[in-house]
Amino acid sequence: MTEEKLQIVAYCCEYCAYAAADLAGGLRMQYPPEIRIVMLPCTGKMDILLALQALEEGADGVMVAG
Amino acid sequence: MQNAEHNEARRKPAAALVVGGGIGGMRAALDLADAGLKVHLIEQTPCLGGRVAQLGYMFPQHDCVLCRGTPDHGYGCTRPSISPAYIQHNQHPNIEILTNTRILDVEGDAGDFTVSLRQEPRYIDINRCTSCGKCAEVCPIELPDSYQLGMTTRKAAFKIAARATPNAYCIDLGPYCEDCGKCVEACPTDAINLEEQPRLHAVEVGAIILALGFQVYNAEILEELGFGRFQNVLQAMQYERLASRSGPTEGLVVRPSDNQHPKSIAWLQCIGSRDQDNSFCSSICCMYATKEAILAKQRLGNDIECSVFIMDERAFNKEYSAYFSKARNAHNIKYNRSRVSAVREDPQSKDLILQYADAGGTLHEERFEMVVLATGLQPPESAGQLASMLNIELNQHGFCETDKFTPLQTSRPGVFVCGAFSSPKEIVETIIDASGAAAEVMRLLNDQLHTHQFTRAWPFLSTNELPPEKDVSQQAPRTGVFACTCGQTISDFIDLPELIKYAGSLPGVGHTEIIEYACFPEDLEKIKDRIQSENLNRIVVAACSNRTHDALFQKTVRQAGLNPYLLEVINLREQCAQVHKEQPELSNRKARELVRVTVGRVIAAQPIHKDEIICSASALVIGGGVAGMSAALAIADSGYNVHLVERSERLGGNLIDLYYVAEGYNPQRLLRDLVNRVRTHERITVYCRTELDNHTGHIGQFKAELQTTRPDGQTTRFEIEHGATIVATGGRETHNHPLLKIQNVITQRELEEKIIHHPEEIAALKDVVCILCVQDQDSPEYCSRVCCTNTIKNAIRLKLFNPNCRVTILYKNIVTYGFREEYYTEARKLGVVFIRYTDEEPPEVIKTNGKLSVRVRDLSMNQVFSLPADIVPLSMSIAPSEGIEKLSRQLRVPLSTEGFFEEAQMKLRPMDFMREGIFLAGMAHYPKFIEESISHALAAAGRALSLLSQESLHLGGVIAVVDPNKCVGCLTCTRTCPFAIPQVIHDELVTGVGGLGGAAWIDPAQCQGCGTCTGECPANAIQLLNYTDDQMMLREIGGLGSWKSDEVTQ
Repeated sequence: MTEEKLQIVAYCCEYCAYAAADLAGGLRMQYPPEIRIVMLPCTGKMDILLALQALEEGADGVMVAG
Repeated sequence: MQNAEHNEARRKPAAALVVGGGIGGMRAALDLADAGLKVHLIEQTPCLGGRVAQLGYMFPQHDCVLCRGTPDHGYGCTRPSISPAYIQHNQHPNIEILTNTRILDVEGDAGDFTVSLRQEPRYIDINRCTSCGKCAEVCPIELPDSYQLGMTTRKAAFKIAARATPNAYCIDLGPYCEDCGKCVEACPTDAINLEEQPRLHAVEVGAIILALGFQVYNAEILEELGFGRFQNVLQAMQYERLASRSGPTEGLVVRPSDNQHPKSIAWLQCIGSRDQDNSFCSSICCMYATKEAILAKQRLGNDIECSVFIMDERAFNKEYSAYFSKARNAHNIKYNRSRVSAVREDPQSKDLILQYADAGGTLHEERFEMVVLATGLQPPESAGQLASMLNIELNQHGFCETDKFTPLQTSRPGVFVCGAFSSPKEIVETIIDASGAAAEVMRLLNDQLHTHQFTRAWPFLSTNELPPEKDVSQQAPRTGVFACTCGQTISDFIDLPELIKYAGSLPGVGHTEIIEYACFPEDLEKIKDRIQSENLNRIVVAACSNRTHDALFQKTVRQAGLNPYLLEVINLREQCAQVHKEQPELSNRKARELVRVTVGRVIAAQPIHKDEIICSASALVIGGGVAGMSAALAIADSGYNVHLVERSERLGGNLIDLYYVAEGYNPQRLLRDLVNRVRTHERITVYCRTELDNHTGHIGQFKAELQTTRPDGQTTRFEIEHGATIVATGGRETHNHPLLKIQNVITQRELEEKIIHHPEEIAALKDVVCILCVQDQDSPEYCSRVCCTNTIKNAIRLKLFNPNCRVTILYKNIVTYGFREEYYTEARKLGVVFIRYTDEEPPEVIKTNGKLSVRVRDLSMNQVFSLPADIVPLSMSIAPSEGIEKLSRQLRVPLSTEGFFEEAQMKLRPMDFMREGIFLAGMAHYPKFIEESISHALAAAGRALSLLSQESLHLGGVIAVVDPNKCVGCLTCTRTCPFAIPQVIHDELVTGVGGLGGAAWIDPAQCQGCGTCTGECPANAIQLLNYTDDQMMLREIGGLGSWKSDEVTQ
């Protein structure tokens, strides 16, 4: 295993943050591949259990963006 | 056969042409399409979006333009392509977009036009372009990028913006193109054809909407301001790009001379407005300059010095006054009441030197690192030519001429106008106009509505008959995984053979395949074919973003008989291949991980269906003023029944007391006309002396209980059913101020009464002192928008009656926006004196020996004057009608901080409430002029019509569902729902936890599917369909935390 960056689970609102991640793709902006983006219909859907489970299952951090 | 056709009267076209693809045109097209009319939306540039697409943020909420107004129902029309109805693969079936297109000729009359169009070649087939960008990579030509206002460059093969609609590149085959043909070679899909020729189209339409927008004033004309000569003098649109996250500096403003963040910025207002050549006000610049200054403070730090050189603060819409206060007090933005006549540059530092006089007349010299010119709005470039071709009249400034009482009609019947082409205006007014113009078209083409049918039965828009859905609930999951190469856009970075090999090893996967272009018809057929031949019941497509392509693949699987929710799309292109190019091993692992988790998710998926409801084909309009009557007529004229409810005994509202307007028209004529038409209309039932008592139900199926109080005090109650509700309860001049107790201190409305009924008293007046901005004692402070113009209107009358009458107007800001500026100019020419006062030292009304006088400090002379006055007319603030709080509770819609109704979204949905099926019109929203109330009423009517004309609606889908057996009735969901939809219902049959009778219930017809309640429910009793815990958490496969697919070895 090579040195790895932190694994982050990013919960993103479909209409803004997730769309922004798409835009980053369209503009070919580079960011670490350790980030896992999970789409939410709205950040209102964010549930404390989702954050805790991600950490429990080994994520180093959780980000909510919306 | 031919003869028979000839003999039969030709059916008039059930279609409309919308000219201009900015937000106005997009909004109008969408409303018309929803009403079942075919729409040809033409745009002269290669993509939709117009000016708004170049903005980053909207005042006053600083909403990113991107994420607003975009629920599943297709209301949005903001950025190119973000609205579901404009996404290329989910485009509204009734909208045909023609870019690069202009009108050549128009023949015919209202109801039946034939329009010839010329479409310039794009040289790229939008159906084959996958936006891979290879053509731009190889193109050797660099040109200034007009989207970024020349601040960066683009290639001759280019895409206007990353998110343009149509989502495709185009080729600028200008004289600079070397015809090298490299783009043709590079294109992996053979989408480029440099030999493409212009195409001529002829479309038959019943009506035309002109949504041409505006052009920005060319600041180079004012040489003294240095634009074009001094590098650090920018025009406002350049600043907008710099401040936008998608701009050349990703939202951090730098000055062009040295790419450093400026430490001081000055905004110069009224550039190309309110001057000798452009005697109108551009209406939006005060607000956008304030927005730009706040953005500078927020981004570059609070120590940035921001100064705005301004004539009047024109903040005349909802919450705009509060925005100015926030800018001044919280952000410390300086407003200098001065018009700067010249800008000088320090040649060494490239700083800019401004000389200005302060309020007291003292000269100052100040240095700024950047100067932004708040450039005004000009008529669109094509206005003159188009006007002569269409034979419509333009006003003296070159904008489209309209009548005050028919604000959306041009001088040619059947041709309507919306947005800044009729007068300078901002986003919200444009949206109102657009939906209003659509209503005018629906009225004209009333027998054609619902001709072109479509359905929202599925998460995508469709027309075609779909085969019956297969029931796969008893089958074991058998998933097909398709990975798209997207030419080489994905396969160059992701090892697809390895990826599908891995996919094949996952449980529940029955078929894997690499396809070349998942979005092309050939490969879509392949997916459909495999669903049949391989007997697949779940599908995963690893391709582009699900945001843009979900609808396409959902439609495909549905065509093959699968429920569209048994599909998952992996965003392999935008969120993996394109963003991790430097780390192939890690990005391959990410791809595997995405496949692993998505397969798990699709296996947990369940079919979802919407409910079909039949829409009651009538509307309830609350309020019988100009807005209520205009809305009722628009709906009734279009063929739907209207129940018009008025609280007083008489229709007319504020119009009853209006005798003349600044423009010279007669409002009493309008009143008579509206009342006569409403009273005699066979489709309108008027209920006077009637109020709403109860309002239940949901979009398409409301019930209202109404109560009529007869003059003798007896009441009758009755119930109606309706599909849509329009709230048009209006506003009123307030009358609550201690000054009004003094004799001869009156309101402007009382002055107007006197002018009409007692002209002899008016003619005898020698001194009149009008005071503007007198706030009702108990109400919050905001600009009532109409008072300046009304006061000036009355002042002009006083001067015409008696030129020797000394008329003085004491003001804080003169808000005569748009063409109303002319009346301000006229009043000054007639000798009306304007004296500005401030809140620190408001004018005092003094009565000594029976004589009135007003003491006020003239700021320019810094001297207190005592002005004698025969009468002192006050401009009292305008408040919403009484009883608005009760109505807001009955309808369960919110009020704004200023006490008016609060719309769904301030900029993009000004006539909608968040509660669907209820619409807002007129002064119940905010104080308005007559023409603005009419436009707003038409907009609300248009929105209601686009609903009523659909006959059946599909509601529900991705919604929250309560498991009553888990519900403890704690009311958390009722408190957290942003739309106030959950209710705890008492029901003996449903027993919640602990034997509790009843449980929370979420109306599927109203739920917006945000999922907020699901996260908050302490008993975990609510699940959001398609985002259930099973699908989100994937506990069994470890779907969220560290990555489980094979380790990476490098």
